[in-house]
Amino acid sequence: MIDYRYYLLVGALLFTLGLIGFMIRRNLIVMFLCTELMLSGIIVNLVGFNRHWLEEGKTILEGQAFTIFLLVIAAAEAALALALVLVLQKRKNTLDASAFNDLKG
Amino acid sequence: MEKISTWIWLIPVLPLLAALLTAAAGPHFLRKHSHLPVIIALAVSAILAVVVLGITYGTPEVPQTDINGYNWLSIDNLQSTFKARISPLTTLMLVTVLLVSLVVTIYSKGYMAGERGYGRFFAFIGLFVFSMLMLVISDNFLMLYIFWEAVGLCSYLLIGFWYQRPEAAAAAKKAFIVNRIGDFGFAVGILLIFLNFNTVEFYGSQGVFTQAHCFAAQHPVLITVIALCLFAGAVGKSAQLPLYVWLPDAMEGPTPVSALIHAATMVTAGVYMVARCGAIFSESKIALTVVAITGGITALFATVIALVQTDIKRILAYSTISQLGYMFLAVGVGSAAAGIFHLYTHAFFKALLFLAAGAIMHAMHNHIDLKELGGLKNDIPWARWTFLIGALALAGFPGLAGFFSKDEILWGALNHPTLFWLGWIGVFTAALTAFYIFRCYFLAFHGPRLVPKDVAQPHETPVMSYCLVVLAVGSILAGYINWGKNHPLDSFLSGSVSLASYHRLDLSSHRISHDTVMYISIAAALLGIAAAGLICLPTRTKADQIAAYPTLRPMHKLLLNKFYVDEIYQSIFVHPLRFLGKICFTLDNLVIDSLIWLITVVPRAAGAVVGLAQRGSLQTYALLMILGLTLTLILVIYAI
Repeated sequence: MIDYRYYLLVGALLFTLGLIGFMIRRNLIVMFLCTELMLSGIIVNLVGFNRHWLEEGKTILEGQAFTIFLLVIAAAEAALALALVLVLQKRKNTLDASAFNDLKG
Repeated sequence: MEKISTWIWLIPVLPLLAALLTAAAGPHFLRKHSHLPVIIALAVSAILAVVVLGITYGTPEVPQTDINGYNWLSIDNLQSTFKARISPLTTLMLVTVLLVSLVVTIYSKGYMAGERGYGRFFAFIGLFVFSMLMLVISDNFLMLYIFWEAVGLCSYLLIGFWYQRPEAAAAAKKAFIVNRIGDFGFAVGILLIFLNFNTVEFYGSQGVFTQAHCFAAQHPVLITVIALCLFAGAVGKSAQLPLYVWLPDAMEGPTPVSALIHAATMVTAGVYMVARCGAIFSESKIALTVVAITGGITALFATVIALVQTDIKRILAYSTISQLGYMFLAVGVGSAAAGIFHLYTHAFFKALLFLAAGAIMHAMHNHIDLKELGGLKNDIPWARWTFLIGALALAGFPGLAGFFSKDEILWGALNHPTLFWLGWIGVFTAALTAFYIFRCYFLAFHGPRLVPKDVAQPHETPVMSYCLVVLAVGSILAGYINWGKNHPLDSFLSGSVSLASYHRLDLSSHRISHDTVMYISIAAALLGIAAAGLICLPTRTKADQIAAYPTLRPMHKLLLNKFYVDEIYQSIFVHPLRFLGKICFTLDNLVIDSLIWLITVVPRAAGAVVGLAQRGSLQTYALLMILGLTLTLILVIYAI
């Protein structure tokens, strides 16, 4: 059986990749994908911690169940976010994040 | 007295409803018929008022009834109820106000036809009459004060009816502000009453008038102060010295409004209030003396100014001031019933004179100056004959309304133990009154015909002429209400508690009999008329020739400029106050505004600094967030 720490490692890796991608890419869609990546990293964490409990010999499955919920929510949120991106693209005919700075102080 | 019940409220409420209806529906639905609701309401109210007067008159015992209305203010001791007080005094006032207002409103239908704001005019009239009626029947000081102010407001609206004209707007403002000064005194008086009596109700076991006698015995100074404060309000509203300046200017409004203000709904309020507060005034000799002297001096002062004026409406305005002076003189010497009697007769003949002047104005295309017109006796016969009747009544010609009431005032004044000299001033004033009104009459209607150039064919409007006739009949007959050995009106009015308290004073010493006073006043009136005839009938210029005598010229100039009172007020009060206002405005602009600007600078600067962080770049936000989060984590994990 794989040690739960590897799950956490994979989760952290995914999260960091997403974070870095979010920071350095300008394309709104790519940035959005990166946030999805960060969310996935956290979800993997949930699975990993649930495994930890299983290893302890406790039959708890909340972590797995929440993963399913989160995936559903992530799907809904992705639909919404892509729609927003579409609207933004139509408004300024670009997907560059730095173009949308109308609220700067 | 059970016969009078809550329907008494219809009398003031009907004009109010009519005013509201006219205001709401006038511009779009009623249009040319905007006069109908108000005229109908006033007619019904007038009939009801006459019925009430009949019931009150027909009741032998002292008729005083309270008819409860709506209790609108109740804070601890401060109880103010809309309560109607039916007494001989109030019923007589109701009838006077309503009859005159009704005739004036019908007249306005002809006079105001085709004017812009026709509906607005009648809505204001309805409101004006409503306020005055409520003032008359009010039963406590607070309610009296509210409708006192409402009357002032309506007069402001009506004097400034032609608000496009700067003079009208200025006159309206002047009337309102000058009244304000008097009303301040009135308000202080009411506050003093509330502080000392713990109530504002007139009657009842704890009422002001009931307690006044005991209170005066304990605090003789305070009762004088209260009476004088109340009198200050009356001085403003009834245009007495020194606050009379607004009334001559008030003729900037439409002529029917002048008639209404001078005869029925505005200036009489002051006299009425002083008569109504008899229980307070009769407790203070000093206050009564002040009232009498103010009245007597004002009567003479205004009459002297009226002698040389050439604007007919202005002459009538000064005439009103002097006649109001007579009324105050009467109240001050303790014959308040005579004052109210004069108020009642004066309402008829002064409304008549004003409406006749309005008829002249209507025929002469708004020319009303005696320098521009004259000899109109054949052009506008209706106005001429009715004006003559009004002039005779004002002059105190035997048999007409003014004769009876002026006679009683003079009798009361001449028989006063200490103030009889005011009576002689009154007699002298009566002669001058006869002179100036007949000078006006002779110049306007007799002698060579003189018509302004832009008037092609002078004409009269039937509806206006009928109103003039009605008022002329009133001016002839109104005085006979008090005809007879036992003076029926006097005994009727003394049934009112307020007037009875004046009656009790019984200041007269009966040195001069009624008959003697009658001969004196007839002589004075005839002398005045004869002098006017001698000077003004032969040629139009004779009066000017007399005025041009070197000895008389400065006097004439002084009178022509109305003793320069307006100019003096302008330099003593208006200019300094305006200067003070300018200083305050500058201070406000410079000091207060900069202070406020300083206060606003702080948040704005803070905002500018913090705003630097908002660069609008999504990635920067994310980076800052991560850095912050990391910092927090480090602190949480290692530092603590």
